Amino acid sequence: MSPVLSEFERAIERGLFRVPECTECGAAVWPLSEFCSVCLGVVRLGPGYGDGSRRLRGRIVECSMEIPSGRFTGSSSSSVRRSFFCLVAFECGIRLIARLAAPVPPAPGDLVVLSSCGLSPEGSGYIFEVSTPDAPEDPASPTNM
Amino acid sequence: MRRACIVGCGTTGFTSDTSEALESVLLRSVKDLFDSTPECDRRDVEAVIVSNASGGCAGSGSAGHNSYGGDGGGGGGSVGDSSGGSRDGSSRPGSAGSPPARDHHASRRGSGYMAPILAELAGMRPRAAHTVESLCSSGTNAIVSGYAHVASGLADVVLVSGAEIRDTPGRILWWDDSRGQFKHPVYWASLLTSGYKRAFGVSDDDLAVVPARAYENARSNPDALRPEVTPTVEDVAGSRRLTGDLRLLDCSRPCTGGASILIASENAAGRYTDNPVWIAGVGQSVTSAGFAKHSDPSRIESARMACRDALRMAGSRGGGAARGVGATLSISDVDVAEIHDAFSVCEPMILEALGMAEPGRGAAASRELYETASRRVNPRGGLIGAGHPLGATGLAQAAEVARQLRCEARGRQADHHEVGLVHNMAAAGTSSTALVMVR
Repeated sequence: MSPVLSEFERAIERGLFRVPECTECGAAVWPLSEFCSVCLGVVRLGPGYGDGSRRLRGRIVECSMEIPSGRFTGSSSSSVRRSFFCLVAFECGIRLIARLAAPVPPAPGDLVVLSSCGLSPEGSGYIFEVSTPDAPEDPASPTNM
Repeated sequence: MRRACIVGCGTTGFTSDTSEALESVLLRSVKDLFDSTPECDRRDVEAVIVSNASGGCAGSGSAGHNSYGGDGGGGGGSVGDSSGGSRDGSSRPGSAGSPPARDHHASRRGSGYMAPILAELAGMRPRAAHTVESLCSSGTNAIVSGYAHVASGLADVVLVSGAEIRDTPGRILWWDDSRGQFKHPVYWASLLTSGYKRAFGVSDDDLAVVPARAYENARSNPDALRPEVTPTVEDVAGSRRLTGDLRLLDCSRPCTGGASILIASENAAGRYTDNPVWIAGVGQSVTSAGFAKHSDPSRIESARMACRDALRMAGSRGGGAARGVGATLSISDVDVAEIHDAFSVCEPMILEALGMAEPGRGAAASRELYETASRRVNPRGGLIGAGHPLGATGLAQAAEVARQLRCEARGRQADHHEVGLVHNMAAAGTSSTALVMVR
């Protein structure tokens, strides 16, 4: 395992998502690699998100609903928080699929923030969760990612 | 470049058997090929190229994660089971779960070197033998490698053989951390389905015609995984929900199976057949490896580019001559096509990418195919109807088009065909390979 991947995994194990960035051109590199896909510069890890001190915002590109064990009820009750998986474009330039728990289906363009991350207990990779932001939308928030 | 053609085909039945060794499946498809091409001496084969989605390292690892607990489905990924993977992106064939049932077989020990193994088992002594791995499009990429050997003059006769065991670790792209914990193919398929439905006002019911026609066509395909199963549109609509946008019968099913073709140069072909099928055009496109790089979840851009390039190459090499259209060839000249319908939504998306339907009209085109019981697209049942043995799929598609063009498709033979097309893709459509074939 490369040093930067080891460092990344140590952070995400503690719930911190450290954005891999190129030291030459500044591009975000995801999935993580030792070198930048734009300029082949060396990649380092930026500050972490996920501990509540900083917010990584993004917008939903597309989404669908999870149906655990295939038990689809078709319930439209707004009192039940359902689980969705969403392709999210984050403002840092990274796109990934994350889980969102929400009472109503999200829509493309909805603003979300990275709320938690970690390692899958089964060893199948990383876990990402997003949530809808509590605060009113920042007018300077990303709109075209 | 020299011209290259297909002079023989062989296929196995597709099954759910996971006890068979990879080399056995390969060998059965090779035997079928040589049984039906008796003029070809196996000693004529100068190169053997094997297609397998695990790179020949098939195994029955089953770490148990990402399992969907179902009983089938999944383009390039079974809904019913899963295989090992690790956080550093490497596959772990056979690294967890129960020991393989028959681990004395080379493939069951995770051995590579499958092309030389096949050459030895089939009594061939080729100059070259290697394996091609490109997940679900391993088959057509292996054909391109075989075509290149012949076109360049490196070989006159090349055997291209593909196979997969149902529980292959090649079903899931563990490297792609942009998928987070949603690595199983049903998730990307759900997001493409959601995107396509949203963009063009398509409903789940509109997409249900795709599996209904696929299974109907597969009824006359003796190699199909379960030709006796013929769900109706209502059955598809009522099948178990896997996600908010995907039902069980929307999914192709991983299976065990093999397929082989024999490619020959123009000089050699006459020794084996008077009915060759020429590989007139090749197109390939890789837009990314990771799913999240998809710029538009309602389109499969790699399919559009690969098919455009394959048609352009075929036209520039006189591929249209068979139709009396000189040096041009367009999608309207294609009489029969095998396209990569790993999930229901893939059919309309690919029809649009190929130009067989206008943008946004793919679902309407799928409905027309269904209502006319057409065999122009996926006459053997496609991946949904016939099954999806990853490393064999592209070869089975090419074998079907070759058989259609040679009027050897028996019960599923449609009209007299002169121009055929194969589209095969991998990893959520991040790459595609297309072949244009002419009689």
